[in-house]
Amino acid sequence: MAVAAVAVAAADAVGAGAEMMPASQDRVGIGWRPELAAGILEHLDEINAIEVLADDFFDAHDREIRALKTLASQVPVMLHGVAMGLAASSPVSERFIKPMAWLYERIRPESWSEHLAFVRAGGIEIGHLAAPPRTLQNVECASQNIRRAAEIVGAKPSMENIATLIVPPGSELPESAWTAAILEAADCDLLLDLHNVLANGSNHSYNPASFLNEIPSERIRGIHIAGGRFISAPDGRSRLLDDHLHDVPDPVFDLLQQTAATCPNPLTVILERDGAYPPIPELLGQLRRARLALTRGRAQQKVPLGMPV
Amino acid sequence: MNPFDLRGPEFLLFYICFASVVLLVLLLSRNFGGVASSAKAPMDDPYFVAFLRGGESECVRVATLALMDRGLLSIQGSGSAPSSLLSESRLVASDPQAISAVRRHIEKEILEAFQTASRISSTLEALHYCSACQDYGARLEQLGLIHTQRAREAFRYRIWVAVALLSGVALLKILIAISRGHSNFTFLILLAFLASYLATRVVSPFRTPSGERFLESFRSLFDSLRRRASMLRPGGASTDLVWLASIFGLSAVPGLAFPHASALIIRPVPAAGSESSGFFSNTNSSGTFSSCGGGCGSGCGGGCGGCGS
Repeated sequence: MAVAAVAVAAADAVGAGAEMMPASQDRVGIGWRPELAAGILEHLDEINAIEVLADDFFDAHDREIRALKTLASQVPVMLHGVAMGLAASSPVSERFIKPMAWLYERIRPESWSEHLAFVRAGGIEIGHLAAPPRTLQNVECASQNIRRAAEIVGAKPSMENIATLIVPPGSELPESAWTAAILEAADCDLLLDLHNVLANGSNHSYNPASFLNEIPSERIRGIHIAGGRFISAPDGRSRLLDDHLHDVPDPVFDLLQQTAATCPNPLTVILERDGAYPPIPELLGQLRRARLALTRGRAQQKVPLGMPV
Repeated sequence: MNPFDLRGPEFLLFYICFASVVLLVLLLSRNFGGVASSAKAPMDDPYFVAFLRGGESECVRVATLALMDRGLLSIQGSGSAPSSLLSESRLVASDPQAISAVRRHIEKEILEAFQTASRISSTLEALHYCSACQDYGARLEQLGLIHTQRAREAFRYRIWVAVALLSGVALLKILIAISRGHSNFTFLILLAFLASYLATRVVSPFRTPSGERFLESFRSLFDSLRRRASMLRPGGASTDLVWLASIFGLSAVPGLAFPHASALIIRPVPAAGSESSGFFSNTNSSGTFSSCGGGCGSGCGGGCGGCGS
């Protein structure tokens, strides 16, 4: 305990004086957005990884693919998909998976990810990420979709938990159990979106910290952090909307620290920002806070990073 | 069959084919001599990209524009001078202490050059030989992104070989014709002059194929910045302006928001005497005369300052 206290104090000192020191093998990065290109490229010394929205490149010209490859030669790049809908309760057509396989083959990124969501039903595109009913039947179908996607792409995806304003009708399992079951059945990693955890906890009245304790920490490899805002729902209650247009709130950094304290894997934390872009120093400031949270969390960790649990 | 035994019109046809092959080989050999390098080219320095695009001249001008935008350099006595005369104005460092505060070497050298008010055009020309520019040039050569001096000399040697071949074959045929009592070789003389002239107009490209691809990657990654260039605002709040000018040229900078940019654009020299508008001069996809970078410092920079778009 005393050792941990000293480590936390050391982490504080690191945070105060040299936030740029890497926390072991953990990394911080940012989602690539064309509007942020200048700021990102000029600060590659502070940005360890870049996440690229894969769907933006599915119809890209050769020169755009070459540009992405050039970027990937400089900094670790991860592909992030949004339109596969792998957590659907029905098989996902190969035509929604093959573009990712095509892009993965060309870019050879470090990893790829998708969402635990469905995006179409009955042949109709919903246009956003929707939470499926959390049932055992869905677990089976979603895990089969993920396994097939892994086979077609040639690499296992990390699956990201999504935010939802309502509990999906017909659900039988709590989100944490449903998530854990899919990860287990599909044998894939979790891309843990901490703002989604915060939003779901806030909107569905549960403690986000408890959620983190209930999911398999050994499957967490990547983390998303973002910001959102409260909106008024028709029932008069307020809901936390994950809009990626605001700064990362303090509770997300607390959750990040908690995750770093329990996760045995090196983590890559990606800051997501989709608009209302602040000056790049502000985003870099949020990355520094993330690094500090990682450092503090690691200092609290009982099992050394990388050791089997 | 000995081509020198061909009759007049047949030999002229042969000579046209021969000259075409020689010129084609010369054109294709422009990219020989690039040094392949496995080292990573930096993506975090806009001035590196500016040099790659347009040589010393562009590098110095873009850096000067950045310093002007940040208020570290100001134009003296421009009054309401038309933009075409701004390049004859004087620039002066606003804050002598800023030299120690700026990050990049080239910015320091430019601020040093303008410690006392100096004429823009002549001072910038003198800065082509600054150590920062030499470093950029050497690094780009090491990375195989621009042709080395040796490669350019080798190319010049190939031009002379081509001219010797073209005129030698014509001369030999003329001597044979004279020995056989013919005197109607005026067309052959004209053809030989034309082919030799065209050979001397084939310009060695500044960038290697790797350099072209690297620059093309930047153009692709920053395509959205170019589209929203008109929304940029002065004041140095972001580095968007610097990247825009580095990648697409000073002409891509919106003149209304950044009127001082026009002071840095080199006005095209009238066609007579221009070295970069030859029949075979290399014009890349963006319209930048590649030749201008290769010979910067030797007078051919004229006309490449504002043609990045």
